[in-house]
Amino acid sequence: MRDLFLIGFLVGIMLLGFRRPFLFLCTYIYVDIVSPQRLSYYLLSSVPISLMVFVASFAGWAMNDDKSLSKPTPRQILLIILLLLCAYTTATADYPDAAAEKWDWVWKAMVFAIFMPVTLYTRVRIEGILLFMLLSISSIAIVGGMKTLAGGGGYGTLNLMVANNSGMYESSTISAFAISSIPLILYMAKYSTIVVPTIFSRLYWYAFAFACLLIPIGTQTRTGLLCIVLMAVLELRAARRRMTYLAIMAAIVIGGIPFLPKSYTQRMDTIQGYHADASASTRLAVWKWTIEYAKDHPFGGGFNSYIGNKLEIDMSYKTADGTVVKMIGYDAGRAFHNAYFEMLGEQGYPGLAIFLMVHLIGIVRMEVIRRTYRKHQGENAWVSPLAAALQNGHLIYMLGCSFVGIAFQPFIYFMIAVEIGFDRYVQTHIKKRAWNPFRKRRREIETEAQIAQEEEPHPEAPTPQPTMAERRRTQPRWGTMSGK
Amino acid sequence: MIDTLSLLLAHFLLGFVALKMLVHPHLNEEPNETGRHFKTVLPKKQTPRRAGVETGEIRPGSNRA
Repeated sequence: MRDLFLIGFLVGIMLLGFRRPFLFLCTYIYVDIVSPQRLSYYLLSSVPISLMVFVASFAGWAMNDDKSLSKPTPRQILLIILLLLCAYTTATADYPDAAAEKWDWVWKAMVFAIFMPVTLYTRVRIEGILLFMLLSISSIAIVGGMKTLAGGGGYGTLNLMVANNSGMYESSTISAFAISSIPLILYMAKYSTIVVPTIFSRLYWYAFAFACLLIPIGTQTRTGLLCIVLMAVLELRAARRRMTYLAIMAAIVIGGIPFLPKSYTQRMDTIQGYHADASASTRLAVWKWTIEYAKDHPFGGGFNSYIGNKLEIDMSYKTADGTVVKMIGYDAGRAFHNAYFEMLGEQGYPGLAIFLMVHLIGIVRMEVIRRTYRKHQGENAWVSPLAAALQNGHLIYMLGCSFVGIAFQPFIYFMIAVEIGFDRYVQTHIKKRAWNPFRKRRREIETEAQIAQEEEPHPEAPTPQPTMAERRRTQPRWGTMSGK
Repeated sequence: MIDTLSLLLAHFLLGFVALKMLVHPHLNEEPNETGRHFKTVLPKKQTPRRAGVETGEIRPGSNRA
């Protein structure tokens, strides 16, 4: 039954895509985040839906859309370079089979991130993509939130509709992305033009944000807790009544802690004493190994190069009476658990540099837009809040990815693509409309150029020097000595 | 039960957004929201030139004594 429903939905939305090809793009986002092929049992799992929708969205753009804004931006060029670097490291990988397996989905995510900004040239399109991203993630987050409320949580045990704990359905990954979606959800509750803010829509958006907050509790991930703290700090920047906001946050924390499951509070306590915790000590050992590995492989070892690590983990701890208990553990083939080290180990120093540049440029550009249009009212009032929401979501991801290897997760590439598209939209549409006393209008520029052209002497035809006789004839004479 | 209900809700909302985008007039082009409407300016109609100063002709009656 679920198979039929998912197939029906996909076929329906694809049919709408033939009328408006931009919907193919939205379908790709849905397929990538929700992965209906993983939710279904028979039919969809045997068809390469992702590739089909990918081709359809590209063909739709090629046939229908305006291509006047398809000039690549610096970040798109950086992404192209990163894609080429990934292709090179895959070809020269230490573990070719494992690298090829990851390359299979990474190239699609990156090509799509390079392509998507070209299609986002109206406000409705930007908003539509964001809505599809949020509603797709809601199909996972709401399940998780409801199950957490019903008491079915636990690290690696919260059932998010699929049995395997991988991709977007992995505990720490969904925690980080659910929290990084909250600023965008709050933006939609207030400024959406497609889902117009009404009492019901707002109720839904706030319930969805609450479900996202419950995900880190349900999955019992420490990453999620840190992301929540960062989100609370970032939202403080946008709050009008900051003291009221702080008071509400304090009340939620004080009132909420007694209701948290004991297993959750116990797990969160391990954030402080990382030495005694096997997971944290292993991560530190992997990161140390990666730095050493990058010295030998400055251009990276290809995807999944962590397979080759052999770790000696220091798990020494101090007892209550001050005795230090020495403990050494051994492990091998442990994942990076950090996107920055993932980039360093897999793509080397150039890959890490490009990764940081792509993300930092995005954050800085959103800050510039946020500040420039902060005081705008009326039709441009949505610009600054959207820039702030995208920036906050991005910053939360940057923190979350310090504990999970999500450098190539498609969701963040969608967010980067929206940032690029939104940035260009602001430069082409909003900047033109905004009042600027020093702005030169096009006709003024054209007139100035015309005047300059007229004034400058013609270089090919130099003025001929008059002969003496001609000069005598043409120059004014002031009289002669004879008085004639 | 929870799985099915939340899946249904998410898909219903996705379908709703897809339909809204399908009929949205500004999906493919940005609207001109300035609210200013300009009167179309046609080329100026040529007024018939009067005899006399403009044409250099002698106006009737101008040569009377």
